[in-house]
Amino acid sequence: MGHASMGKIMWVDLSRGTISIESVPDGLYEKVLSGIGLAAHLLYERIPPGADPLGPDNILGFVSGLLTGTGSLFTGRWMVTGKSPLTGGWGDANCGGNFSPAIKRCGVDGIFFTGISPRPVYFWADQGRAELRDATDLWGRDTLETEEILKQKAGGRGLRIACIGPAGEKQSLIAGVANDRGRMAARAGLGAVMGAKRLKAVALGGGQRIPVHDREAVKTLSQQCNDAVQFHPPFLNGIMMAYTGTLMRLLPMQMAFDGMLYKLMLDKYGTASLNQIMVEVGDTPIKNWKGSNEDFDRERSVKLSPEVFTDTMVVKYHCYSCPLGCGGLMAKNSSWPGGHKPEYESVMALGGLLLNDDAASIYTLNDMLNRAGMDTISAGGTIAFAMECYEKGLLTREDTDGLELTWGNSAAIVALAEKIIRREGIGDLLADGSRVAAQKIGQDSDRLAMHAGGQELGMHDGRYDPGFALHYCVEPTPGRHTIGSQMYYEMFRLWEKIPDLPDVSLFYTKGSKYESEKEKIDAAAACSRFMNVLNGSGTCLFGAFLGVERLPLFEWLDAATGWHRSPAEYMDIGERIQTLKQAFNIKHGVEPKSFKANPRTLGRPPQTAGANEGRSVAVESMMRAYWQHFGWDPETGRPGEAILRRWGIKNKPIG
Amino acid sequence: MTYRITDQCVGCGMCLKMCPVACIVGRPSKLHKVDRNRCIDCGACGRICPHNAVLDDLGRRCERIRRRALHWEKPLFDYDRCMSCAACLDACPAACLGVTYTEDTKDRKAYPYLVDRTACIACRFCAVECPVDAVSMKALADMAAEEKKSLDGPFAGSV
Repeated sequence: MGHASMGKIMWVDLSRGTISIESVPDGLYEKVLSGIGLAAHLLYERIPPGADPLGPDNILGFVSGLLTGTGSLFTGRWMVTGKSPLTGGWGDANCGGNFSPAIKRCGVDGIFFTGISPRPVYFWADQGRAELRDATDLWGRDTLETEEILKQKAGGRGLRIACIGPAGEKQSLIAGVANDRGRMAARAGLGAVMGAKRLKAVALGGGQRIPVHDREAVKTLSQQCNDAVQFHPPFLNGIMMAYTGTLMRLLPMQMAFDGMLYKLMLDKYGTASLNQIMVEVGDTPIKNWKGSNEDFDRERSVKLSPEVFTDTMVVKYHCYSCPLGCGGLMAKNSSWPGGHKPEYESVMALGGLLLNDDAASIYTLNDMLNRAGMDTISAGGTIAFAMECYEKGLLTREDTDGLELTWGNSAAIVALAEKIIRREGIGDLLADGSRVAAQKIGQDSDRLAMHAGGQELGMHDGRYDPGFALHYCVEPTPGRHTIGSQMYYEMFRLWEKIPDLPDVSLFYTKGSKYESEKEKIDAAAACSRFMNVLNGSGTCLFGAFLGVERLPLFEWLDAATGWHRSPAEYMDIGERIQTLKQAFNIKHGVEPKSFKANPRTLGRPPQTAGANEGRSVAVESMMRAYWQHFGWDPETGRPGEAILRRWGIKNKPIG
Repeated sequence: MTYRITDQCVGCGMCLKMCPVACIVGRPSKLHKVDRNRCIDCGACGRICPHNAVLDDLGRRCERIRRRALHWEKPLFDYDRCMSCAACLDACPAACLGVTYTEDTKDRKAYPYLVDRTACIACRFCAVECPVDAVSMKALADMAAEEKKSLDGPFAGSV
């Protein structure tokens, strides 16, 4: 067995009820790391082409990261992977909490589920034993209840649990998987896959040790990293940040964003720190991407200011091995339901995107969706779509069961979300996301659905940062805001470790963001490759925002595994994983071209008011250049045979 | 290599009760055995065995440490260093750690502390795995009064 990895994976056949262990050769970790890379390798080779994502042939994998449990920081992320029922291609969703080390403490790097169980079950593993147990009594329970019941059943054993709620059970294609009281691995609709397999929960209590090559060396690096994290100068308050955003919008120049600034914001408010500043600069999509900051001005956005969301915070929430703690657990009172602090993405998907400035309703929605196990981004995106359909007369009051779906009608939004969760009436139409709903409504309504390849876009506007637009359209998992952008690249500071990569000047003109040049493509591709290394090692994106000199990812990997690799070699591993994911999509008949996001999100036609007035993104040429960068066909995005051979990927994997 | 029980074992069952991963099997008064695939090298069996019948992972004989006389080590937390990452809670095979916090809005961190002193098996895993070395181990019998108080967390006695 190598170091940092457990050297094994577990296979659970739900149809037959059998559990087996498979050894993973050390060489495979060296090629694809653990986490997302390991999953991409296995799923690419073993899911037969044309497999129904909700059928028995799909493989649902829960994977930890290579660095998880080695004494490194920010490495508590786990991933759920499978063929996405939402996009039809590669699907992964990433979550923090306490589940990632639990997988490794069961002695494996991943747990993979195949088949379909004849009755609802949950998977249980503790103290060297593993079994499938009856979950009939848990079926229908929400994610928080499920966790509570399973923990009580286990007595004082402190189980770590990933589970689905009613949304996953009803196979809503925008359902996710929850962990630690409603933290969500939300995207790609993998909760529906779990529901289709009738797998209610995965409950882990293992106590195995995680082998580390040089724990002291890892710790030394961690302590240096922690010094950067614990740097606390006096800081701006929420409303001052809104004015900062206004100023940033008005200035002709832009300053390269340093992750230390974002760290300070995260430390104080969590992702809610972005609530107002991002609306002001033009990064937050408003009113189903049709509106602008002018429709959601400071007077409205102040109702969702960071303070609104931190004032009732009882205690900060840290994921496993996180020194920062951007999460928060909230007090329960008459207007707030308690639970986890709503994240920026949730607040804006259920707020600005719907012109909803009622914080109490957002709290309620966030809690409802976390309990139901549904993605807040996709739910918000789908409701925004429904609202615009209602505005345009494509949906009538009869269709909505009497709900007045006007912009900002918070009571109607809450009522609609409830219907979507229960799949009642119009809720059934919307429960599978905006693309499916548009197909059912017809009448050219797809032009109102803001998705890429079926997945609703994150709450970052590609018209403000074209890097987002490119990654929404070009990633094997489209519509994701967690892989790359120009701002992310500025924060990653990869050029400090990999001199071939272009560095970013401290000041640049805003107009230069929209010029597509070779450096932009190099930067975007570097983000994709780097994120695969990050997700292979189970590291948090927010940690990576500190920059690679402050977050010693490559050095941690060397110290934990005993390898001696250069950062460029790790980035090559990232490229192999990216190619694997792309090849997965090709194998399953998903054309990369079809992931192009809704033209409105690309500034076609350009907006006539607000921060992004007149801006549009030439995404087609960027997509071509991005594919070419990886050596894929620039017209189709398909990796050719020579490229697959270069990365040791089987061209015709056995089904 | 993992821990092993030699034939000095009289089958008293103390180790079996102490093992946090239930990897020891054996009937009363019969030779007990460690399941090598499941042993996590926590050393609890070696510390508890009244007959010094256990060999550690390097094959050295384990010395019994008097538990009743409070000679087993307990984790002491340095709350200035602690970053609330909960790695110690995860490392603990005996689930004896928990977190505590106050209503004070100036300090919104949750801090780890030893919730269940009797459940702690003195394995040191919390100290080993703490990324910033904020956990040290000390026998209860050797602790100063101040240190003993801090076992109950940073806010003990203040509420």
